[in-house]
Amino acid sequence: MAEGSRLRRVVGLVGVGARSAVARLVGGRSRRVLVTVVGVAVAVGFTLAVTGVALGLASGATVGGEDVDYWIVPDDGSSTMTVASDGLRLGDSHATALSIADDSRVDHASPVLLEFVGLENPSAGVGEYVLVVGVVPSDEPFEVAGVSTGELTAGDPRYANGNYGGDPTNEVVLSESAAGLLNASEGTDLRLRTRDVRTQRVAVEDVDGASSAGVGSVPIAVVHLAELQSVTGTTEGDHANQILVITNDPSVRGDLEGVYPETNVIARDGVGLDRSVGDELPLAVVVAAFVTAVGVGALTVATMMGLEVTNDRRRLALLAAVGYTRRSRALVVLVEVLTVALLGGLLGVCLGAAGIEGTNRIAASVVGDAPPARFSPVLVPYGIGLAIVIGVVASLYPVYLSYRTRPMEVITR
Amino acid sequence: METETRSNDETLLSCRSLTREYTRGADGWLSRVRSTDRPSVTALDGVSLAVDRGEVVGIAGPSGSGKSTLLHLLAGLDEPSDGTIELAGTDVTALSGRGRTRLRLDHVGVVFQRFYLLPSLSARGNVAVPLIQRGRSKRARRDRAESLLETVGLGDRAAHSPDELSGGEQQRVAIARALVTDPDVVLADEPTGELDSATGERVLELLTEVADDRAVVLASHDDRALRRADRVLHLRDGQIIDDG
Repeated sequence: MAEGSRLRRVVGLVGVGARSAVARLVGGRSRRVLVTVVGVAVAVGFTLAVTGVALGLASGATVGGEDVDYWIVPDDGSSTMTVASDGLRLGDSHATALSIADDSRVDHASPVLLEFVGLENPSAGVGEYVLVVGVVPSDEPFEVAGVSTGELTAGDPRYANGNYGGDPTNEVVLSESAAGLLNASEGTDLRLRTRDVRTQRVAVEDVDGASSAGVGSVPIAVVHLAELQSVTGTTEGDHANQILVITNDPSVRGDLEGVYPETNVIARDGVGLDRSVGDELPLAVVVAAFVTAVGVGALTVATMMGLEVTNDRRRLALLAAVGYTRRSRALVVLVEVLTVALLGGLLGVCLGAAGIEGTNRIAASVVGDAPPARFSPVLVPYGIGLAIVIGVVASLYPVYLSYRTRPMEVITR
Repeated sequence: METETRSNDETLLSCRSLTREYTRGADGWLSRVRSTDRPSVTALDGVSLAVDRGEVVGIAGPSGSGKSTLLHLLAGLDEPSDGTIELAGTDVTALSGRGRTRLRLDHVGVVFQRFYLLPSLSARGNVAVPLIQRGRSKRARRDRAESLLETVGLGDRAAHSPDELSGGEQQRVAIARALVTDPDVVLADEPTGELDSATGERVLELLTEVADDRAVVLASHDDRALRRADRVLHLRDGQIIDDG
């Protein structure tokens, strides 16, 4: 009988292996195969769900419906308000903030100047150093250092297009801790004092809770930027420590990075955009999930399919008896393992999609309506590819066992 | 007792002074490292025989006499401790494991007592299994398998899975599989061992029919099977005690 083609032989062997795997699964001949498929599916599904969350992190979709405010801060290692009151400062801050606010994606942009300044309550006879935060309020109130700007007049009248000739508002909003220290309440007249003993009278417009992360119970007073600059002598150069950008569009971030040289753009808060932990976080999550899935999945598949091969050595012995070489038998076993892994991968993609949907629903019910995970069509080939990797790694053991199977040992039993 | 080998131009299969010893506990890696003497069992002791084209040779003997061992050695499934085997002009004992496998594919058809059909394949698929290793096209495999199933009287059962076939039908499928590569030699190990007498007769009839242009070696302790052989070699304790 003439020799056939090698390709046809390989295709035929693949068919034998694939049919065998499917028959064991569908025909219910082996519960081990079913367990293996489920094992791969769980590993792939888990990985896709985690990857979906990572995609959400990377794309910023997780906080798409919320404020995703950014801080532009000097690149001197400072990343929180409490440590940024000294060090490098940003110049021309009013004009820069205005130009940023011109972007339709930006709701408001405000320079933020941080100074520890003495505040006195003459009527109570007390004086304390508090962290005074100078901002440019907007019509829409926003929080800075946990204190709302809602009671401050919008804009910065004192700035007056850079000549600082406008009328000051003399408004201040105190945090509860500052109000407590100064024994002040709404309507109390206070005096701002600096080392050169310049003073400015301000009236407490509101007392607000200071609960923002990063400042703790530090006493805070929020005033108009130009009025703080006037007191502290930072009008020349229009200095500020940071610029706060209020937006709900994460795509602004890239543009902000080019506003000032040697600055960082950091998110206000929230796991989705906290860049202080680095852009590598989503990638690290994906890699960790991938490695875990391959490890756990491959161990499961190798163990179960190894048992399957051991239990079904007669078939391998038969193939040997009718003239199948070790390599051909190994290919049949390899295809079986890969088929099982592939079926698990397909099921895993469905599980992963369900996992992402479930994660989003749970997150919506617990922390709000922001979906923390995102399903992308790319996850389908990714899940299948992952299953194949699991299958290839896991196949080493069953294939090794098939190599070791001696037909005589089985046939004579 | 060593019988004389009758060898001529028509001889397809022969062996000379074939001996197979098994050493107990020699399979583990630890036992291979240890140098202590281990007891051995002689399964086959100096057996010689020759089988001509068109001849059916029966191997008789009680359980443990060495029938299956002899068949497995002749098929190249096992290696002898001593002696030589020649199959279709090739010295089997000089071949590597891969070479013996290849020789089996080209020249030997094996029929087992327990059929060993693949449950995931149909009767047709099982018959065609050896042709896959040969790289035959799907159509060629199908045509050849169906033709042989017709020959063994199972033309209408080609699409059935082994689970749907009776024991006799499964054995006939196994015989068709053994013949699918058109081998020179067919080795059958207790082919009627799990069949009722009527079915066994039909299977034996098939096996003897195929001997027209090939050599058939039939190991059995079933007298019905042995009566169909042209001659019968009686084995006991690994030796041929009668070459009838």
